Amino acid sequence: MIKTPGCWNCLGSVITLLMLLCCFTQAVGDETIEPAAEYSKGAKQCMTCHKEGKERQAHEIFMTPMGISNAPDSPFAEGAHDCETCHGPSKTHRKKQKDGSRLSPAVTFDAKTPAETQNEVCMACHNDEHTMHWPGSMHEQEEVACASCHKVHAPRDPVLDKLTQQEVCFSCHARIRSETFRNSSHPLRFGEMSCSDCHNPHNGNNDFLLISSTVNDTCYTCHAEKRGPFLWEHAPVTEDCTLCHNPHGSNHAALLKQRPPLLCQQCHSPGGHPTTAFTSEVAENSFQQRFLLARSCVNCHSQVHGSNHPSGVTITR
Amino acid sequence: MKKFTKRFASKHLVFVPVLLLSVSIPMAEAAETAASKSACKQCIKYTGWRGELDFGLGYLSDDSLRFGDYRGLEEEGFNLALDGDVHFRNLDGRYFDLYARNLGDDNRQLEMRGGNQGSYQFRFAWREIPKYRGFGTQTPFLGVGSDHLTLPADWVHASTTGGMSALQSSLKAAHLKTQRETLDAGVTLNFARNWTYKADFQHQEKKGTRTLGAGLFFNNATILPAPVDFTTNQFDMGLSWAGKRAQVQFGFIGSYFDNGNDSLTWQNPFSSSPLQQTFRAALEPDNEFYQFNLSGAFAITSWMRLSGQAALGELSQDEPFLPITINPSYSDLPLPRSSLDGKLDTSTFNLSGKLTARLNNRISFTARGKLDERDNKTPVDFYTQVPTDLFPVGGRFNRPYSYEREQYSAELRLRAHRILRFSGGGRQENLDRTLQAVARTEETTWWGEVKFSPLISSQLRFKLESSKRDISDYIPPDDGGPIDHPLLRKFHLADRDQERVQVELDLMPAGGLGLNFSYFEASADYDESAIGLRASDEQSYSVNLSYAIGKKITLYAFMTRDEIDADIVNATAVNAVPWNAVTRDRITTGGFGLTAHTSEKTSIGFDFVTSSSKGDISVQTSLQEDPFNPLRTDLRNAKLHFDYEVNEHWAYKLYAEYEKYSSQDWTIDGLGVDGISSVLTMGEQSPEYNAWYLRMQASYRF
Repeated sequence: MIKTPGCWNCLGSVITLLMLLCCFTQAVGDETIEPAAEYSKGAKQCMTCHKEGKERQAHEIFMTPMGISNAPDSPFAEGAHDCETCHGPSKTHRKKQKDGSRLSPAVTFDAKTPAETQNEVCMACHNDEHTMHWPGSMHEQEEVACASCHKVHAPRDPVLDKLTQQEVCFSCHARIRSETFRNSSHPLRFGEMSCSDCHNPHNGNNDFLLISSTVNDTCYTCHAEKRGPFLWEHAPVTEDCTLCHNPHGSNHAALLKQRPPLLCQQCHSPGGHPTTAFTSEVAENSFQQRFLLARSCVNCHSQVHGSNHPSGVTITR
Repeated sequence: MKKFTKRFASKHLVFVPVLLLSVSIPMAEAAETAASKSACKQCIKYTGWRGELDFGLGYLSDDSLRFGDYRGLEEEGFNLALDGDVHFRNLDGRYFDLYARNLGDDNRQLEMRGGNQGSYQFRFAWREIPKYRGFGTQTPFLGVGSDHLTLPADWVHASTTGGMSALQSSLKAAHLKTQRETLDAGVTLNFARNWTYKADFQHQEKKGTRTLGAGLFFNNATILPAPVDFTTNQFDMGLSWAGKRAQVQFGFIGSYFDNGNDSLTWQNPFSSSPLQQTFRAALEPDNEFYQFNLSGAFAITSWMRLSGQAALGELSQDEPFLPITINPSYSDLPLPRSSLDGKLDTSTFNLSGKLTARLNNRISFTARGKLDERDNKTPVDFYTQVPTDLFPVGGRFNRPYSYEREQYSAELRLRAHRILRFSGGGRQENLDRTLQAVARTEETTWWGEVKFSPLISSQLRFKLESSKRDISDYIPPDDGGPIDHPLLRKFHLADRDQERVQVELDLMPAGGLGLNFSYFEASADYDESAIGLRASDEQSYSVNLSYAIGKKITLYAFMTRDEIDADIVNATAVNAVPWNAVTRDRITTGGFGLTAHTSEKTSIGFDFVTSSSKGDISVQTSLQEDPFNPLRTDLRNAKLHFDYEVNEHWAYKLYAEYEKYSSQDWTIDGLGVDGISSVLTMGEQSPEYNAWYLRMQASYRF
């Protein structure tokens, strides 16, 4: 038997403790120090070195929505600091040092600048319904910088292109890439689906960063025919599609985790044919082949996601 | 050669003028609006229209349904290769973007959006996905694609497939294919300061044929080509407000599924007895789902934030029932109701909340809570059963399953030093179910992680997670059906101990060179399950390399090895000696490639991937251990891109792809349609092919 843990009580206690801790730490004060730096004269100065054809060209920003200077939310709008709206006040970057090198801009979107600092720059403008759950989300907690995935200077950000998005994701989630090449998989490798069809990388509240609040609701966005509710439900189906399916890819047909009949025999043991040990010798036995070969259990019990036939209790109709 | 379908053209072209109108007025103004920031010539260079239109021909070397899977290229011969993108920008923020891909193929995609930046956006997209659902399939049935399958007039019925003497002469190829077509249209309006309204509509159709197993008697079955005619319409609307410290969104989702076929009727190939001539199965019923949702976040202080989501919805299904059986002998058997119910009501309620607090620059804390409920209010009635349209075998009450899932978690992250970070947390998941063998499961998870970054260019990450699931009493429900072995524990209702290990090493030993090694293992023990899934284990090893040589050449390589094992125990009777099955899947995937801008005018890309799998299944009884032949798949894929820029406006693009695939599956190979005496199959075979595809396009840039 199990005990009732009273988790809400625990959570309440933790939150109370947290509040006390916060009061204490607030007294310690914020360690952030504002840099005393100056802005340069705007994009025209930056573009003398970063124009098209230069080694460090950055002109493609003007092919993107960010580069529209008359749009009020653009970094290049009147009153904004052009490139330095994102890169921070960087007048010192303009001058060469004695050794010929240059100081970096105040903010660079690479490993030189902490992810948290980079993201503060982005979130200063992109603080809306799309990113409201970003703070505290899995990616934010793992210190993933916005620029780790987004190429804001590219005319079309690869992570927003269905054809190239998965390569961006696979650069960290390498194991998933191999799963898309398995015998059965969703069509990510063909660019017919993208990771963001199921996952919202900015979301922090749903399991596995899914676009919907449950696994099944996410699957139903494309597989609404399995939504039911059916007259005869198959209990695990109503709970979690991933009990039987591996959504990223499987060695077995239909993304199944195991091959029937063994997949079904993990949960069904009423005696008779569902519990027979189907060996390779059985495969040669004409009487029992129907339980093992072709579609195995699904030769007859084909309505595994549920049946709406009045006589469908055994999910054969 | 493939052509544009009328459907495609009619559905798309109507949207083009609408979207163009959204930016049409400023088009004429574009050249004149370079004003305030005109001192920066580079900043205004890209206003007006620009784009790239690619047109040419492609050629596929061989017929192959599997190669055409998702690609839309399955027939040997030429196809039209049309791609492109068109863009418009002006300095007022008006814009238009169009992306087109594979317009000449069955997997065409078109995406358009236009509007005024920060004010409004219209968007439209069309997508098609072809999917093949069986290779080498044949059937003697007539009327494939319809909901009524008949046998040829000269069909010879027999109790076994071997006796169906007219079978071979009646067989016809039956390509099992579905085509999914999705239309998206939407608008976003930023109609007042901080306020945004968004509305999206999606119309999705999936049409074609698939297989459906159909038990005829208690010892015969037929694999049928079943029709697919699914339509789903979805509306997604949201009103949001975004302030500096708080954001909130209220939304509505409505989704309506319609199946063009409510049943499938077929003639019995095994018997000509008048009472056993025709059978019928129900297909997926129409259903409706709607949901209201509220989402919000509030920054209580600069270091503490609260966010949450709530959703309240209803799912309903009221498709009229079929008769209990198509067998005329029992046509008078009464149904308890005419449909599952006009009153049928299923609701879900989700609530999640999260508190994030960054106590100082070194410590952060996050707590979450989530409640997810499926409250199935479907009425319960007694239904007489005629399971294979033969004769009544009593009846059963339907069992509408409900559950309520609570999840709580908390985690603490500590930046102990510039090079050392610790994090850890706990998670509790409680799941209450109705009408199942276990009323409540409780799973507690603890995890810890260390990140060690001695250099800016390296990081070692080690994460360990351990969870334990306890169940309440396992009491198999008395639902009038077969009674399971008393020692069975269904794996999702069983006690479980699970461990997860993740190790990752990232190295950047030189400029542009990145190396990653990772190891992952998830193992689960179901020690209390004498019958059922006893243990599972999944391990994965990966190596990844990327190397950027200057700005012009990028190289990459990867290799992953996956090992997935499971041990299953079952028994033919309560007192029988249990038998044991072991499954072992081994999958190795690797690849490499490069992208190089070899000169001002040329660029080249190459990708190669190989993926091989082997699946071993062994069933061990008290008498013997009996391994099956391995299941095997072997994929080799190579792609080559070559672009040559002739001048500012014209370029040529060459794309070549080669793919070799082979597979072995003892469950279908060599069976043909009559390989199983009691099952008339469709003769599906493991796919095997060599195919190459060549595409040449001229590209006009403006």
